[in-house]
Amino acid sequence: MIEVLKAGMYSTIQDTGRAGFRRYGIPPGGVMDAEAAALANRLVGNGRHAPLLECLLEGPALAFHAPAWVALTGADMQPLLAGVSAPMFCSFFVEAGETLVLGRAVAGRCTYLALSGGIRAKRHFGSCATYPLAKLGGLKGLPLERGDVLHPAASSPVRLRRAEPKIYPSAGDVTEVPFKPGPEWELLPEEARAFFLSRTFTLSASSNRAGFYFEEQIPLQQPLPERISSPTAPGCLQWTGGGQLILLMPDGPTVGGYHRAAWLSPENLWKVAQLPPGARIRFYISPSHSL
Amino acid sequence: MEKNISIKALSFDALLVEFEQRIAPEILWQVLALEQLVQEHLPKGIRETLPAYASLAVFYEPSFWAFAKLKSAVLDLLPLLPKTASHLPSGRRQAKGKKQMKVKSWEVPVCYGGSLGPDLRQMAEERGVSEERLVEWHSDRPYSVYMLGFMPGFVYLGEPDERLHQPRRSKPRARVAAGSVAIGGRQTGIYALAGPAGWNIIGRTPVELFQLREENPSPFRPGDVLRFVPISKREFEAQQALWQAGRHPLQKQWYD
Repeated sequence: MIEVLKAGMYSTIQDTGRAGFRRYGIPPGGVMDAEAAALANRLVGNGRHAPLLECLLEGPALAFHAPAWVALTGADMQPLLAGVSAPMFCSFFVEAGETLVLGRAVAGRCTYLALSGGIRAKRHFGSCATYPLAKLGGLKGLPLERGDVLHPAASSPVRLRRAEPKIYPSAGDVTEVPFKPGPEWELLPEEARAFFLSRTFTLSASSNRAGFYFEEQIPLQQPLPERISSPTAPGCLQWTGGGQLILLMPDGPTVGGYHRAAWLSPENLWKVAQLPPGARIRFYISPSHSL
Repeated sequence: MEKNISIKALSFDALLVEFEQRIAPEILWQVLALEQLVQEHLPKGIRETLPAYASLAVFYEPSFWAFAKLKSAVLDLLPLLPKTASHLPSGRRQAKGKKQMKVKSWEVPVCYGGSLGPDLRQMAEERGVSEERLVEWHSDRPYSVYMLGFMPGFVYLGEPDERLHQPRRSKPRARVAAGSVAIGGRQTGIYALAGPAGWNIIGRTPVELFQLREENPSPFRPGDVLRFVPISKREFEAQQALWQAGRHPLQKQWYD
């Protein structure tokens, strides 16, 4: 078993999410950066749907009371194992009695910690993804707390595996993100669209697993009219009536009344999920003609 | 009918069908009829469908469907929509998994006002009427369930008496109890879970509107009809105890 000595900022058990229950208002949930999460699972020999730990901005401290193979991917939280620097993007063995401590992310946002065999968690609506609003999945449907205990779901033999490390942006860095025009793109005032395309937008510290917010607003001559509530999805970039941008993430609402200006491909959504507060985005219309 | 319908991409794996953008039973009926057609005629490569007031999202497997292919398949279904429908389906609807379902009519007990409905008093004062009169206005008619969503189990209901229309609170509450019955603009609805809320809370139902079970996490479906029945605080507490003991005394009648 593994004891949580420090919870970190927002550490949750996640998997690839749930499907089929949006009609009841249950969002898909699941990992924010599916690429980094799948890699962590692969490094310890798990399938891609195995539950693992997602840690945002600052990670937990974990005391291992039994040995385990572990892999860390995503944002570098300068992990220390028994006081010594532990590798990222590489499976490693933890002895019983050792403590793994994650700090603050030096760049990026999401770190994935996979245990060989997966992490035992509650399954609701076909997934172990933690969704605190309805207390679904995870340990008690909530983020980790000090004193919680994690159990590997199964033990499986692993050999050392490594992958190419990935570097993520920091506050201040500008990332270019292509988008597809959303259902209401054409309804937005032309000068507002031009402003949107010509500026960079800074990720706000209030961003969370439901939505990413930005510090800058779109100036509008008059507020956008309220729309009759209609479906939304992760990756939808909404404009509120007042010109605030909200990028919906996996735990976002299933329906909403804001203008759906744009949407991002999964690969671009994973890329944005790794941007920390203060990182900047320049959006441009995707030149690809896949749709 | 088809000329009022448009099809767009909502995301990389979702197609959005939009009907005439207004809140009306005949529009909802079209949405639900198309959802049924999609489930019956396009069984492969569809992950889930999500009906809303005047739109339907179809979530699909991008490895199975290209957007343009699915769009043309959905366009082919539009002529099969009923040409006239002035009311909700009164017969059977096909649910996912080929199970026969009926539209249901429900009685939902509500204790209005007081600590369970903290905004009722001010709404009554602003209108210069008694709280009892407001309760009468709210509970004197059947409401259609238009949509579940935004958060798990939240029930969006059709329009209340226009004398009850009330703008959302400028300062949302950080937390309201599960079962809170609310008015937001021209809509009324029920918060199924405790959480932040911007609508005006006029009462609370002891009914548990969201349960951790895969079959029917919510008792309601779009198209169902429900009616609010005022109950006293004492009755509220008695019914709440029944729910907490695992009994489910929600009254329903079948529509024929």
